[in-house]
Amino acid sequence: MKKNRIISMLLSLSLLAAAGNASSTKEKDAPIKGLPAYAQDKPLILPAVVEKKLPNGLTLWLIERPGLPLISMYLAVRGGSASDPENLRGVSDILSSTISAGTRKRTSRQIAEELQALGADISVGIGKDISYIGIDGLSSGTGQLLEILADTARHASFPEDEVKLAIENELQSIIASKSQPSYDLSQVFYTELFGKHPYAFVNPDPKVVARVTPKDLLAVYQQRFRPDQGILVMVGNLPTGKMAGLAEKHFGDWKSSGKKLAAIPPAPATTRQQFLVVDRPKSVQSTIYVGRPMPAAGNPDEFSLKVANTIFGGAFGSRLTQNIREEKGYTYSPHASVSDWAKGGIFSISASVRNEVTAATLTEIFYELDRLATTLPEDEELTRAQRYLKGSFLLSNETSSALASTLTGYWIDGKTPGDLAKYVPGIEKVRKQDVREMGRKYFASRKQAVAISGDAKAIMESLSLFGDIRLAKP
Amino acid sequence: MKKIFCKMWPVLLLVFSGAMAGQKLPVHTYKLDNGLTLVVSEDHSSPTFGLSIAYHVGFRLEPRGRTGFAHLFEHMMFEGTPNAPKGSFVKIIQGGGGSLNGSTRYDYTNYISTAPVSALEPVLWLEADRMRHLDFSEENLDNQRDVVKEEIRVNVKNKPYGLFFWTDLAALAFNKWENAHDGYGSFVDLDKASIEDVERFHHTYYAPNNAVIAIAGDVDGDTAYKLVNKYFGSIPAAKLPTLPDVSEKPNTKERFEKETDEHAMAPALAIGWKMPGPDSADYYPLAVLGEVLLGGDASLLYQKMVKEKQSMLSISGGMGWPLGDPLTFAGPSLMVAFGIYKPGSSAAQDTSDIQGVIDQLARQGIDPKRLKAVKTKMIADFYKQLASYIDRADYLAITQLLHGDANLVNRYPDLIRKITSKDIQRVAEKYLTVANRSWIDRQVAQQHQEKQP
Repeated sequence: MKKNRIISMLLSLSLLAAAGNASSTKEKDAPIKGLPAYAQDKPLILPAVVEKKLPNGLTLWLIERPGLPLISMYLAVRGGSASDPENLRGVSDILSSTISAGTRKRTSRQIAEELQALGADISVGIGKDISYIGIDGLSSGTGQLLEILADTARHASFPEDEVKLAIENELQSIIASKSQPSYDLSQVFYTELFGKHPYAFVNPDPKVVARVTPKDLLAVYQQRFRPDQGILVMVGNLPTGKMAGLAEKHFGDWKSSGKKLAAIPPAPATTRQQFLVVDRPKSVQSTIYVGRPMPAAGNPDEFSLKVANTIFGGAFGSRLTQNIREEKGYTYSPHASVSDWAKGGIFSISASVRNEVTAATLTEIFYELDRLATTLPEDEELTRAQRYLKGSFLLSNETSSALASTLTGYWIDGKTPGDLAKYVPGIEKVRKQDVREMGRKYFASRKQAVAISGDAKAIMESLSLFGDIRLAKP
Repeated sequence: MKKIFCKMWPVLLLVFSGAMAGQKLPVHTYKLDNGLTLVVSEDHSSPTFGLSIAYHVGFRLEPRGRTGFAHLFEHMMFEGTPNAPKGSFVKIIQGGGGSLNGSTRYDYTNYISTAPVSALEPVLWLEADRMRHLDFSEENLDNQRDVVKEEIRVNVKNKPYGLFFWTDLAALAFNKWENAHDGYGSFVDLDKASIEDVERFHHTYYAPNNAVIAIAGDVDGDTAYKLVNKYFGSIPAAKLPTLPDVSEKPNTKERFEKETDEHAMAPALAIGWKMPGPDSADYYPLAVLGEVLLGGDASLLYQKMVKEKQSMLSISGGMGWPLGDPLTFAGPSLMVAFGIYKPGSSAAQDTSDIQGVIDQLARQGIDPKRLKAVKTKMIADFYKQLASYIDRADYLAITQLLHGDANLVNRYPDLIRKITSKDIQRVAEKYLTVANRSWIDRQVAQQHQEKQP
């Protein structure tokens, strides 16, 4: 998800394993004897969203959810890492780790301890086009939580010692992350796709990080965090009238001042086919990225693309997983995704495979990409992908915090709560021809760039059959 | 077909539309004649369900010479049956709009799924089908052996720190093979696994009387019971082997190991103290102690090591970390503290500073306000975990399986609330000692050291 810029790179422990896959061509979809059919789908219950706007321009989207004694709130504003000043690319990384590290009246420790006593967590995130502060806690403490949220969104003070520590930790964390195969690879891949556009920026330059000052942070913070380009989303166990009153109390006198953030230009929409290798001596695996730039959020292909990507590689049951995991055993977790932002988007496939099968994996990826562009999917594949997407939509909005996050994403993409109702029909109207059309338009192998992190000595020769392979550094 | 336990508050359910109002989760427990236990928690706030089927077998019970087998077997559960060919499961679940997963832990293996409620019946059929039998084929085994090896390469061999704070720390701290061996397994052992092993394992442990199935969401108890009985009722019970005694006493002498990391660019430190199993009166006090020391930014060790001394870049951990939490163990576990330390610091100094914080806590106890805040946070975190149906079902299945009582999820907040400062002092003094401490200094390999600025 595009908003989650804070990545815990070290400990994504997925011992959670396994899931097999869609049947192979051998057993051609014979019905399973005895298997009961799906029951009738229940009608979709959409949450009632109360929309308001405070006189200072702050948008409010509020939802009451009875049940668990919890509340989730997001204060989000336009402008993220793509809006970092040219000479301070990466300042957002320090900004996100210092917004909740002290305000005019609270130290970082006080913030942490007060939140703990209210059963709450705070998360600050900065994406390419969005910056947000989120708090999840017990609904009994909503007033206090909102006061803390307002304090961090309005009065962050960037204490000198906290900024110094954040910079030092960020520099260390860059060093630690560099050992991940995906770290340099991501930067190489994004640079190839987006060139000089700010979306190309993934990894902060340590030299820039080192010279960030509290004054820089305050300037960027004040330019972004203002009510006329912000939203407060609240979802939880409290009547929306109460939520609105509390929002008014803590944000009503917030003023916008100074120049509004400048819009960023559109990102590139295509790429050339390229083969790049980031050398990682002694690596026992190759990490393969294949992909291209895509259209921005709100494009007319949105739903067709979701369905096409689900059939291709966006779910366990997809063709890609079936092929390179279940039939060939090349990889544990191949994945393909389409993401969109305000001014552009990306399609990317990732797979980590053992060195010997690097070239063979690429062959299979290309085959599956071109198959999508040349033949129609089967009925069963299409229906399964559609049901999967519709169900995921329901499941992904099951909890208050997930719903709050979805709605925040909607707002930044220029959607309204009313768009929640368009999702299911949008997915349902996609036809087989639309999927093939997406294949031709976006997925064809010739339209993708390839970047691989691996032991160059072990893989270069077998890769040379694809053409010129360029060694790349971030 | 006895209902062993049924708490039904129809009025409450209507009034509160099912969700967890009044802080109590509705829990109905049923038992089939073949020994299968069903737990249902009804909630109509979303037209979806979460399902977890947990089997009482995990790393601790895998056969000797077959490390990693429980996990490999878990993969085999997705490879089809004589009725439903490989791939059916994912196809049906995803075609039903849902998602699924499986995981292997010390004391259980669970299979979880979630989907719109229209897919509940086919999912139950599929779960029953693979409890009854599997497609025991060499081809599937070879394929999944490769997939598991890739998983180990991704998570261990090709990854900085490579989960040493789990596998290596457990190997160092524990004495009994059941607790100490690597649950991911060695490639040599994985290669030895045969299709006969797979069959024997399924026959021995994947029986209804060794499992609990829990369903949370848009379904009522009686309907769920009828469906479960329809599909699982005829699966025969098995004679279960007696469980080995896996308990261990705290160590009496400190253990230490130095390692080199091929991929990491910054050194790391992991400390583990041996903890008793959940039958001990010290168990929940230790869980709270873990939170006091390691639970987030307000925790004592984060404040001391990352903020005050600034010698560590990060610190995380807790009881049973990173493979579970206090509700998900049936035997001993470790209290783990793991962090990356800065080049100017040393693991020995950091370990001694961490011990200093603990010793002070053991001597002076904890400020009541802090203790209350920690407990509030633990209870709130628990509610947050119960928010999604799939996690709710999983907790119900695991607590019923391991502790014989799914209502533990309702009692848990009180178990936490009643812990006192004296309890914290007592267990810190008893378990978090130097003698019971095992720790690993994981250093950066030579070729990376030069790259340090």
